Amino acid sequence: MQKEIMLCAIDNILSGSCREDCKFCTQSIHHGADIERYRLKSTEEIVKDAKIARANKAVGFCMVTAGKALEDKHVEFLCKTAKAVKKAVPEFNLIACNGTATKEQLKALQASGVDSYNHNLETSENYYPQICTTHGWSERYKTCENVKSTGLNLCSGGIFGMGESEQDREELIAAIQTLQPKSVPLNFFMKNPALPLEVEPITPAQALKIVRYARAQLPGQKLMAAGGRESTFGTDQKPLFEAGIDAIVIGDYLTAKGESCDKDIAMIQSYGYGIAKRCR
Amino acid sequence: MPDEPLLLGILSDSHKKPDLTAEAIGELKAKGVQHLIHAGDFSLEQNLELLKQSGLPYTAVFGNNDNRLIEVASSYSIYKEPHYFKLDGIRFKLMHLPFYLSGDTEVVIYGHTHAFECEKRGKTLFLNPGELCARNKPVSEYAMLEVTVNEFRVHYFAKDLASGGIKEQLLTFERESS
Repeated sequence: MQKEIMLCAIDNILSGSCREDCKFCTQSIHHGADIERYRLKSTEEIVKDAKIARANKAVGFCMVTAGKALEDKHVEFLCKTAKAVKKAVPEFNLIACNGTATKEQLKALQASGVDSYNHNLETSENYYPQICTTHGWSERYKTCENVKSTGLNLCSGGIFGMGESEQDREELIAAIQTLQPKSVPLNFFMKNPALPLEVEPITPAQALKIVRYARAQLPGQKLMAAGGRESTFGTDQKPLFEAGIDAIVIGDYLTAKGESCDKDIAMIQSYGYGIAKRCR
Repeated sequence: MPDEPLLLGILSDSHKKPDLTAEAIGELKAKGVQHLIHAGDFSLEQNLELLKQSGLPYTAVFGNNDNRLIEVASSYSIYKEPHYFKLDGIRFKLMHLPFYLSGDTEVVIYGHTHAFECEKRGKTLFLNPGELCARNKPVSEYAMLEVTVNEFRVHYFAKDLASGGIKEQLLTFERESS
């Protein structure tokens, strides 16, 4: 049976005003990255983005807001918008990614049609203080537990190539394993001149080793190649899928341009894979 | 853009007056600004640090007295002039010297003259918030730009150093590209 690759689109619906100091993130106000900043997009604009994503064969659609935590004042807006997106594209696996969140907030999102919540652990608990000093790793883990307890599907992964050791990578994947998420985004750190992380880019060989290890440790999870796919692998991405990737982020990332959707789809098909018609 | 107005704190020409810069930032934060914009001439890194410590996103350019800050630029959101950026989809051009005064964005912000200036030419709002440092007069000046769907509302603030009183003047302009 032909392997099918799932496509997921992300929509940065509130950009560039995060007060946390995560060293990998261009949306932190601490780093002064030259990015576009805006307050909440309108519901109409987000629905339009969702329709475009579906036309580009995405089966997942993720609404992302900058900031450490889901703010109560945004919950009502997200609920209204989730209902509108679901009405426009009912077949979507609708994902929210809005930072740390309480069970009550998550239940409200779920009741409005959100299917999944994305909250990455980012890196190992031990290495996290080297990456962020404004909040702790345990807060992130707690939110993932909250997601699980509400019955929302959990999407949780991390970023590789931030100067962490192999042991950190293994510990991160072991932590993800304890959460048993539905899907695991694997990001490869994308350099930006404003960011304080001075590291060599991860090599394709290192990235493939991570994917293979994650595949072995997380056999029941959907493994998604997310940020850094193009910058790490260029146009030779077949080994990623052979190593166990079964989903990718298509289109633009939060603040970085992605490959055009048409090219990505053609690339996947040229490798002999199909494009998934729904999110499993 | 969202229904709630976009509130921006507009500052320039701090020179060697971090106390006045801090006071203006405090006043603007109390008014609920969401982003700070500084048109240069910090003179001291301390003034730049005040923007960073504000807890708000900010955008700044180097002025003609900021050469020594170039070596610390990587720690701050400070750019060479003219710097183009977008907030809520609105295009801004920010500079220190009033040199690149073409109306190629919806808002053009500059400094250097130490005098408040505000006018709309064509579709573009040109705004100089005046001097924070009170070098040319005993008044520390700054502004708040309130952007609604249909209007620019420019609030000009002048703090009298002797009395501590703040005078406010409001100028309203219709937006044409909304």
